[in-house]
Amino acid sequence: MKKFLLVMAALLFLNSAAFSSPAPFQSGYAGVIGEMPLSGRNNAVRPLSDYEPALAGTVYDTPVVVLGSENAKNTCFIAAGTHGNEIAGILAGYWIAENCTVENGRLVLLPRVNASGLLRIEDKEIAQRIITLAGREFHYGSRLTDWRFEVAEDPLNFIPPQAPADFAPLAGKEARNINRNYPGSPSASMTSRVAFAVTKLLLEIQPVLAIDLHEASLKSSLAWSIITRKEFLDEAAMAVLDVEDQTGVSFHLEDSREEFSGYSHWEWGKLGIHAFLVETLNPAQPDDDPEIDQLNNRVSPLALRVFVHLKAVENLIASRNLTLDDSETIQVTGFPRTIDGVLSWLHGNVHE
Amino acid sequence: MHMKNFSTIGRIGALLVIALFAIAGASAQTAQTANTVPAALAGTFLKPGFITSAGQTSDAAIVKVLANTKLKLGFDYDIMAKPEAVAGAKTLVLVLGASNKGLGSAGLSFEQEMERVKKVITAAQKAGAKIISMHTGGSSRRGELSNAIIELCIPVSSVVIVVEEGNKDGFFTELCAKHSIPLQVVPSIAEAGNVLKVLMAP
Repeated sequence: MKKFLLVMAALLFLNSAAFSSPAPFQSGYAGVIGEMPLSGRNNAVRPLSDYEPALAGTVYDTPVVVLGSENAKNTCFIAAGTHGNEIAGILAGYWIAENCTVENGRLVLLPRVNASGLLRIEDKEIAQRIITLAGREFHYGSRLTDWRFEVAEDPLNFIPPQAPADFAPLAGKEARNINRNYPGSPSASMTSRVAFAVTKLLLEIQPVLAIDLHEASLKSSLAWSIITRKEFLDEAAMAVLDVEDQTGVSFHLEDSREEFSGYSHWEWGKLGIHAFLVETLNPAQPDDDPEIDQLNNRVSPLALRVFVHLKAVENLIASRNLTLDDSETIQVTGFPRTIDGVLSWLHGNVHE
Repeated sequence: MHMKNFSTIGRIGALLVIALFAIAGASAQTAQTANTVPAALAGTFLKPGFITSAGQTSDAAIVKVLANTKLKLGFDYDIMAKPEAVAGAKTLVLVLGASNKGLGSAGLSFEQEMERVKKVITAAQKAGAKIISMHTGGSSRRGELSNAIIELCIPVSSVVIVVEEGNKDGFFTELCAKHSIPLQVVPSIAEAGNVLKVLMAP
């Protein structure tokens, strides 16, 4: 009886939370599918909950898009939307899902790792933001996961699961930052379970290359850069040079260390995966200032950021291919040749 | 209302910042290309060459890939080279810029890195090597620590190559003029590589 009352109380709490806020997506998976332009080129789309059943039907589930042959020897993994407010990476992911074709190898893409951050629900304030592009609506979402459906309140502070003993604790809300939770756990928070599902996916597909698309503020030293572990610096350096050459953006390289514990590229690198974090400059960060014009910002317009992400992906694949056998390289077509191609796409015109 | 006032103040502040940059930029040098390398310098730097960082910036890895993979210049490389490693070199390339992440990754304090660079420079000079300083990391490789290491390396250099974004305030222009060191300000990292290629003896 006591258990029954507790369950009823929990259900009432969840219901009141739902009534006091915009209706959440029934599942994160459906929410992302609803805004993602899928093309016939995609071989398969499946839910991330295939790798962690606890995510099924929740706001935390998200689509995994597979392009190319399931039997290919080499796979490139691309993650975007870990932070729902870093929209250039998300749009780059959508470009790939819509426009790219894998001629050889396989590409596995998570365009919104943080599906629960689709709605702008952060620090317990709720205000949805939509960007309309070419008649399509895209959510400018949250950096963190949705607190309303988490298993517990944020802790006072948070330490990534595999951080060294002397790691300085992070703010408690970072417990809902997927990119501090790798490799994740199936018995911890929902945020940690998302990270765990991604890790399980990686262990199954065994990618030779993994790229995580993010954005940083003007004040961050990470804006316009590729960050990687020391062992993969040369591979990244080649891509940095080519990205700068092809986009005209002054791009730089950063090497990571233990302070990046819990970050995707740092933890994926421990699995032997050549892993890279790509950062463009989001002019509205760090506070997501709604007065900043994302589309036409003078310093960092959205089309340029999407273009740079796509060229970074293209050149990191090219750089990785240099060390693969010719017959086993990953060949992807459909990346934009110029920024005009991205501009046309964002405005709904036929591109290039 | 407060937001509006803040916004107005912010705009005035932004205009002031732009004006200050414009004034500072007046002393910065216009970007050049490999074609503008003075004849007296072209082809005067001999092999074998060695690349190391001064400040543990990962830009050193970029310069290595540029010089060796793209331009096939065949430099030896060690981001934290010891003095004995450069003893056989006839050209030493120092890639300038302090990186806290790089220093942490190398397990070095900034002071230890300054000491290492001083010893490397001394070893190169003893061996008769000429020094090329390169700064390719833009404004993110400028700041108190970076400036200190730049000030250490510029006076001992035979030529300095800088990607213009790192010289917006004319810091390199002023420093090179003070020590009478030839300066090549270039628009991109790729062009920095082209200048390096022109400087090297065939």
